[in-house]
Amino acid sequence: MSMPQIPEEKFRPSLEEVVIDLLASIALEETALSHLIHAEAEKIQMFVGQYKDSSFISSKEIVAVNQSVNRMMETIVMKEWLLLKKLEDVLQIEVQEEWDEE
Amino acid sequence: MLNSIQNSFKSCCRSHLSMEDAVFHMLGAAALLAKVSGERKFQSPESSSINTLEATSAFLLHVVTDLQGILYRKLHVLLRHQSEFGEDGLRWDADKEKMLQGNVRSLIPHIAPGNSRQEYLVYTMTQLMGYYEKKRKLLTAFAPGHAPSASPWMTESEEVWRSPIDNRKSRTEAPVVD
Repeated sequence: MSMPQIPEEKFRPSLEEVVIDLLASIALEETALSHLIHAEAEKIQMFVGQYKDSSFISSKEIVAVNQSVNRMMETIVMKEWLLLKKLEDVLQIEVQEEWDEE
Repeated sequence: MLNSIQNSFKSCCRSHLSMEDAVFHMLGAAALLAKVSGERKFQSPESSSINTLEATSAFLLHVVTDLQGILYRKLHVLLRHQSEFGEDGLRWDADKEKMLQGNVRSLIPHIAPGNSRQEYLVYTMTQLMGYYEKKRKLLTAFAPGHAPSASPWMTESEEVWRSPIDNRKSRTEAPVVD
């Protein structure tokens, strides 16, 4: 069994273009995450806002909403951590390139 | 840094600001939920679900704290590569402090004295406030004159979250979040 071969492509991006695309992907992913957090926050506001008197909300309902938000927020935290590592690595490529040029 | 790379890097700075905005929004929502949980405790203090309510409210703040920690570290990375980002409108936000104060006041007074969850909550709050303080100092270092030099809330009511175990008065106060 031989090693897989990546087919030749007409267009191969330069290192600079790769760095640009990677940085843009970090920005886009992070913007999407911020939208998710806003949506979760609005979910809480909608839930609390639909009752004028909080005594109409059952404890079970409050816990259910809270847990659902917690689960989503935990996932976002993990993703943000990965994005930070990605940013650090991409910037390292960029710094390395500057050193190589010197 | 090459110009086009710098433009992409600026997009990362902007997305960082969006994230900070979102965390601020989530803190407000968490305070709202904490207020409802607190009111529930006043209405039926003997209910067995109160413990779960307290625990989930505290956990949400814990998760937000984790996120703020990552964002702080990321801010450091961003500022290291583009110090003018500090002058780009990212600064200590006093509203966040107020929101956090609302969270503290909503949750802490309603947790039973001597309860280990109270200590956990206080620890979380201390950690969160620590990140904000560090962030303020970092921004001051990179963009002097753009970040406020002192955090007004820290000196005013730090006792509420630093030593609430012995702070009997705070536990009798009603929630203040609007």
